[in-house]
Amino acid sequence: MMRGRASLIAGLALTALFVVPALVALAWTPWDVTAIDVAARLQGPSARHWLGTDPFGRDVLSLVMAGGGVSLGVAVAAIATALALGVPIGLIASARRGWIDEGLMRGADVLFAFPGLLLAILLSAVFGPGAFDATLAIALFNVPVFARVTRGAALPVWSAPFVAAARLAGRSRLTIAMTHVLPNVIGPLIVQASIQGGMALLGEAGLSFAGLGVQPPAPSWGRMLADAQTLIGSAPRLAIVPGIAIVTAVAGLTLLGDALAAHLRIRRGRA
Amino acid sequence: MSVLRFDRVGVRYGDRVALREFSLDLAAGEVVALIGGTGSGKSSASLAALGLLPEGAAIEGEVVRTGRVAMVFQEPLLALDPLMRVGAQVAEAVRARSRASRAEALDESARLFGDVGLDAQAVLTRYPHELSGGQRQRVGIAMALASKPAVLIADEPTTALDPETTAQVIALIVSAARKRGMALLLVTHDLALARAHADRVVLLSGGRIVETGALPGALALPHIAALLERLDHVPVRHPRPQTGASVLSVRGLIHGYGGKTVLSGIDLDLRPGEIAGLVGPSGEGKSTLLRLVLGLETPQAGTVQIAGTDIHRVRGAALRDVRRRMQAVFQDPGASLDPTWRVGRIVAEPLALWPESLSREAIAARVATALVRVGLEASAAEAFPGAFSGGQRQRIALARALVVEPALIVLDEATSALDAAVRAEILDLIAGLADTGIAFLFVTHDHAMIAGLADRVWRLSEGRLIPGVPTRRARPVQ
Repeated sequence: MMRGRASLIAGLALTALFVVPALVALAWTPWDVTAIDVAARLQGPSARHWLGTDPFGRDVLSLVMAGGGVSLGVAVAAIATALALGVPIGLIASARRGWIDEGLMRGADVLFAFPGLLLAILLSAVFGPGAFDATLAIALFNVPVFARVTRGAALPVWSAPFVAAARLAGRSRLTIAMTHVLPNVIGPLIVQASIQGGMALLGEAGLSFAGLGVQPPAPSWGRMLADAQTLIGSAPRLAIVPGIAIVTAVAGLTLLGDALAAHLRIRRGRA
Repeated sequence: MSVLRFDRVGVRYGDRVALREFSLDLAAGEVVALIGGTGSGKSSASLAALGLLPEGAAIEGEVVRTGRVAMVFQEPLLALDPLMRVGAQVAEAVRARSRASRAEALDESARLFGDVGLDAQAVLTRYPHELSGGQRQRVGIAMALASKPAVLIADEPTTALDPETTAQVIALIVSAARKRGMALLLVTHDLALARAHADRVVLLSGGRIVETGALPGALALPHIAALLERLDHVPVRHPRPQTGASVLSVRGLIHGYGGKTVLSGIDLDLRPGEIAGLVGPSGEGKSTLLRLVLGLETPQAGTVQIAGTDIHRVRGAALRDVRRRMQAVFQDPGASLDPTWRVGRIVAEPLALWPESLSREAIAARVATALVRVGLEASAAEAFPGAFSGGQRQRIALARALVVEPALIVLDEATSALDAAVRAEILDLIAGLADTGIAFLFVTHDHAMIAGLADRVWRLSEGRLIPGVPTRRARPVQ
């Protein structure tokens, strides 16, 4: 209980630590992130540039703030898409059982077995590398995750007596799925979404690092890491800053998911 | 000789006090029944004796164990490892307490299986899921005996079993304890069990010992006597003339699964205001019959008519009309109400079957009427089911059934999850509703209860209905 409370607070704090600057960056950053100033390249931290500048003279603090926004945008869009596709699949599978269930779940298995990076390479070959293909790749990778969580959480709900009571009240399967089953699986879905959100951030950083995600000059944590790679000896700061940002964000979302899951278990236990 | 002594033991979970100032001394060879309803603290006492209180529980006082304490759990399926053969599990328990070799431990577990009335040859190499509930609980008992304990604690050991098996399992636990000179602490909400087997009884309520004494003298103590009265409670019913056509009429119902026949020709009739009981051990098709009557499943042959309409031959508006005349209340009050809905919405749900569309005010008024009819406040509509006790939830489930003014309510073990006091209240409520002309079909394991309540009782055996236990108040037909 205490541990749950602690990880909830830590999770919220760490998540806020990257979400708030990312939201601020939408409206304002200390410096223009696209402004190149070669004269001011590779400066160390100073009053003008709190985290110094990169090889193009861009302000690292502004880059990390704006990069967080891009990463967050990709992660949120990907998870939202995955939920929009995965939850109905899981609900239908749990409602119909039989061959429909088998078909949907084996389809999900195939998608799940497909390496995420391979999917991203395939998509960037089709659409060209960019935020869109990264979002789509991460979304597709997460569809089977949400389909399974939904189905798994929904199956016991379908056999609950209150669903039998709803059938006696003449409700259709669709109505029951929307009004009884969905609200009862939303808890585990929120938990899973926050954990997968952390994974999506990591995925976006990885794809951008590999050049398959966000393209320059748009800022992104993964791109910052990639740019810092060759300078790791002379300016390790350039890799450490986005590295810490990624760790903070992923740890924050994962802790948040864990804490929500623990909270949910306690509530279930009491009911 | 004292083998287990509680000395002013208190258990708290945060701010909630589960048990206070609990003192009890168990002597070798003694059978003590610890009785009390839900939340009385009886489970906290047994967990404290085992040192198994959950994390976050604060304990005061002292538990002195002179010998080993072993436990027979409530739900044997949860206490056994699903991936391990039961013989190996018991052997493991033997080895945990002695230096026996693997082979010796297996021999010992075979002997223990014999002691608890299991055919060791047939059962040793089975997995828990391959055994019946009664067999699993026998394995649980063998496992508890394996450590040669001085004290055996049995916490509601038969909740998961039907009454026939319950009687056998309890008799087995008691005789095993007496034969070995162990002390037995039988934790139960069932005073009837305590009365039949215990030397001494301790009544807990709200975490305190209310009454305690040796049997049979303790039965005269005021609280225990009041409990006994509720246990043997028979609702008062006012005979009313048998008029009107059958509310439920089942003819030649046949059904089965995968080539196995479960029901082979069921005929039954129920008239307005009549309460009919349906008894029989688990697995005899009671649930199947209910599902067919409720129209949740389609029979292979035969008809189910509700107020003259065959529920399996109509669709659309006609089906909705049939459904409106028949509602159900299920066993588990915790699971029969959607925890994410407010009570008002839950109770209103069957109004979707109402022939005319109702205004928001009309729905609220009907919900309020139904809630008041089952003895709840109309304001209960605002709360979520989690705020109510088991008995109150069962009232809410009844209100949901009543809201569409049905002619028939099917009760599926609707009182078996409730303790004696609450059950008596619900039975009175049902009897009162029957007096207003609603017919009830009551599926239950509780022979004594249904004999007191019902006009007729059937037993389901080998797929057919046969006359069951005689009712205490057989009503003249016609």
